[in-house]
Amino acid sequence: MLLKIASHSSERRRILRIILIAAFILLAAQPVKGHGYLVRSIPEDRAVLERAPVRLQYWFSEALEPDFSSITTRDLNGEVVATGGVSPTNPTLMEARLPTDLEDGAYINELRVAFAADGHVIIESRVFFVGEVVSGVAGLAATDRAIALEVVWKVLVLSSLTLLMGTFALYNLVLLPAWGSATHRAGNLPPRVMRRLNTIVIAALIIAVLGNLLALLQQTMVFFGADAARVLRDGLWQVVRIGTRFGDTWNVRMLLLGLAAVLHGLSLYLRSSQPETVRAFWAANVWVLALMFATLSVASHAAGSLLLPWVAITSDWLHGVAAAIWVGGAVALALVAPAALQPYKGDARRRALLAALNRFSPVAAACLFIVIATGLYNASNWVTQPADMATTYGGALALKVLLVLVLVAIGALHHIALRPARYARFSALIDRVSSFLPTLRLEALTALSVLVAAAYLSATPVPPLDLAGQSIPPPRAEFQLGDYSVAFTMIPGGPGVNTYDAVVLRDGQPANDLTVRLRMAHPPLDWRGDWQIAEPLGDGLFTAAGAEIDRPGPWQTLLEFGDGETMQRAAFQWDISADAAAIQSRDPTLINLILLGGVLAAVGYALYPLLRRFVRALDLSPTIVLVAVAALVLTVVLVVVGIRLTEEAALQYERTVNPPPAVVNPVLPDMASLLRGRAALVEACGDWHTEADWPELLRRLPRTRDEELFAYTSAGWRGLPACSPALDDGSRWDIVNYVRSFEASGAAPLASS
Amino acid sequence: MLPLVLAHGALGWWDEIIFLGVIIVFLAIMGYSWVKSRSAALDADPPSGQPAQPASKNHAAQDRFTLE
Repeated sequence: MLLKIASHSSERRRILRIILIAAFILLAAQPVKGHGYLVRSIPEDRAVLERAPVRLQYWFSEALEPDFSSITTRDLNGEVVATGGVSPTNPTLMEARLPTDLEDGAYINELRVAFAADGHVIIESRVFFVGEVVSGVAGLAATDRAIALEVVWKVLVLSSLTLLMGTFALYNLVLLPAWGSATHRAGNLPPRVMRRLNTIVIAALIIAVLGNLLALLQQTMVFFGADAARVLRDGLWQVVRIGTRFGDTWNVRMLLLGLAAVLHGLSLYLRSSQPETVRAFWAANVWVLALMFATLSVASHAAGSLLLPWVAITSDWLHGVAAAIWVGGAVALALVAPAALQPYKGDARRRALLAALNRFSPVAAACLFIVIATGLYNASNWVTQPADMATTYGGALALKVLLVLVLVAIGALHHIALRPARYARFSALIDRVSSFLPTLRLEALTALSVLVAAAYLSATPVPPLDLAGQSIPPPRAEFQLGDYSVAFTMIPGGPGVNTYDAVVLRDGQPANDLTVRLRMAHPPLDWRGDWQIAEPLGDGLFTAAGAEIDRPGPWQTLLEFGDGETMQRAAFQWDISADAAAIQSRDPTLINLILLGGVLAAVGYALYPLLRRFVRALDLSPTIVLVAVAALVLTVVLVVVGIRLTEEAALQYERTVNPPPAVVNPVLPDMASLLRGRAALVEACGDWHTEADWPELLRRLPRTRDEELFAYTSAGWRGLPACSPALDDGSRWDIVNYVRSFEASGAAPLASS
Repeated sequence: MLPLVLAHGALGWWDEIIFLGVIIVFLAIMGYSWVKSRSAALDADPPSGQPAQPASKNHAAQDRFTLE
């Protein structure tokens, strides 16, 4: 009867645990958004524009999946006026071209953004107004999507991989040294222990495979917006598996799972014929599992870090591996201990358990240091101000930290109980946990809660960084010349890659039959880029892109248009701001560097036993140490000096090739300047056009600087006479601009007139 | 030109080389640990069911218990 009651009680406890875990999973299944976020948008949400923009551009913090990301722009009647997608040249940019004849009113941009790293899809809408604000129209924030399935597969994958890593590590680092014996040839542990370990590994492998299959199903459902039945019926999962970055990491993870399963299968298959290989297969699988955690890291928050992405991924991987050895090891120990200790009672049972715990304690401590150090560094990537802790991410982080603290407290309890002599003042506490197994189970249960919290955290959007310049409008200018009107926009308008859009209208109608070319110039360095032909996209829109603007400051755009024989010139002056660039990376702060130092210290602590063994094997005689230190110092000095010299040489080369001019051309080379320049050249310089050396000057123009041309107007050049001394500087610069206009391949603006 | 293996180019050439390099290094370590573990000896192997140094009270004596 008593036995029956005890059995019922145990069953109830088991059911209660399952309910608790399920409740936690459901609690974690809150609506979430993607990991990535918008770093720059043109136009801004709710921007009020005098005229319709030529194109919409949205820069994100991470690369996007081109096949599953799109922009649809609608007017207030719901009519689609434009569609777009991921830029073919920049995977972090989504863009759409708008028609040039958009009427005044409100326009809604529906964004469907699929992030490549984690496969998260967000759907949100943003509004812009042409003319004036239309009341009652607003965009919708990123659609909150119930992704219980995502949290479920993440819990399954994370907990199974953690258990696998913990089990393999526990076997090699704890169980073998503590309990191993050569008398048990297959695995060096008693068959009952190996049976229990094998059961854990096989169960975890099955759960990991199921979790991964669920991941592919859920991801395909999200990408295609389809239900599970359609995904399976139409084979859509294959498209995601072979056509996306999520599919790439999924494939690698499944391959590694297959490798781990094969290695473990071999250890079972060969345990009778070649028992000595069992231990070897268990050692090899530690590394396979460590690698498997890397597949989680490349699809984690870390992959989208603007701060040193590979350091972030490495830190995330260290965090995962250390947590898995610590938490997974604790769970595996709790699961294997009953079978291992089954023949023992009393003091022998206690000594056997103590042997394992004493081996596990330093491993767990080293892992704990790494978990804390990497956790702080990882959080510093996203939590940059106190207000971030009030976000969903901050809440999820706090929940995880709280549960980890409980785990640390239980670990500390075990640490104290294992050393009764040293912590005699806690004897009452030590007596309460002296049997260890109940607290070991509690530790395992708490560890599972931590894993659920970790899955929840990884499915929670990070707080967007407050990036300067997000609201700086792109440089835009208009120019009227006779029948033509030109509107030019440079997007985003900061240093880096920019898109150049020119809308040319003739008598108010799109002038699609023109040739349009443009070049960028930086007068402070007397530098000009190459002429590039703008691609006609219809509706009078001509577009080009380039990375000529490499620094803030005054820049010019020279734009020429015409039928190829007769060209007109428009010129625009910009004051480029560094903040206007679409930020794709950020520099580490002092806090980031300090925390990174903490990570290195924690890893150093964990590797200290290995390093000590290595150091002991070295010949540390004074002569050898002196030579080694001298060689090290010399190497460091040479590397530092080499880097400095290389930088200096690069700077010197740039100064030599393109030195700042003694006099800077202050006159914008627009059509008016060219006309003035031609007139001045004819009237005050004896008309260089008729001189024999004129063609030679034009031939040399690409390698002749403005300041040299300016000097020629005073001193003459070869057969070209000096201009009248009465000519003012402004007119001389007009002449320079006019002469420079002949540099274009093809007709110069005033060549035929 | 070799095709991009991972991420369809999303990581970029150098990043993919790093990623694949890490995989190769880990698989090499896996092979090495397999070979090394095959021939590695266990710590002191006392009689079954006995601690290594039952009379000692030091910590080393408490972290070894050969299971039967």
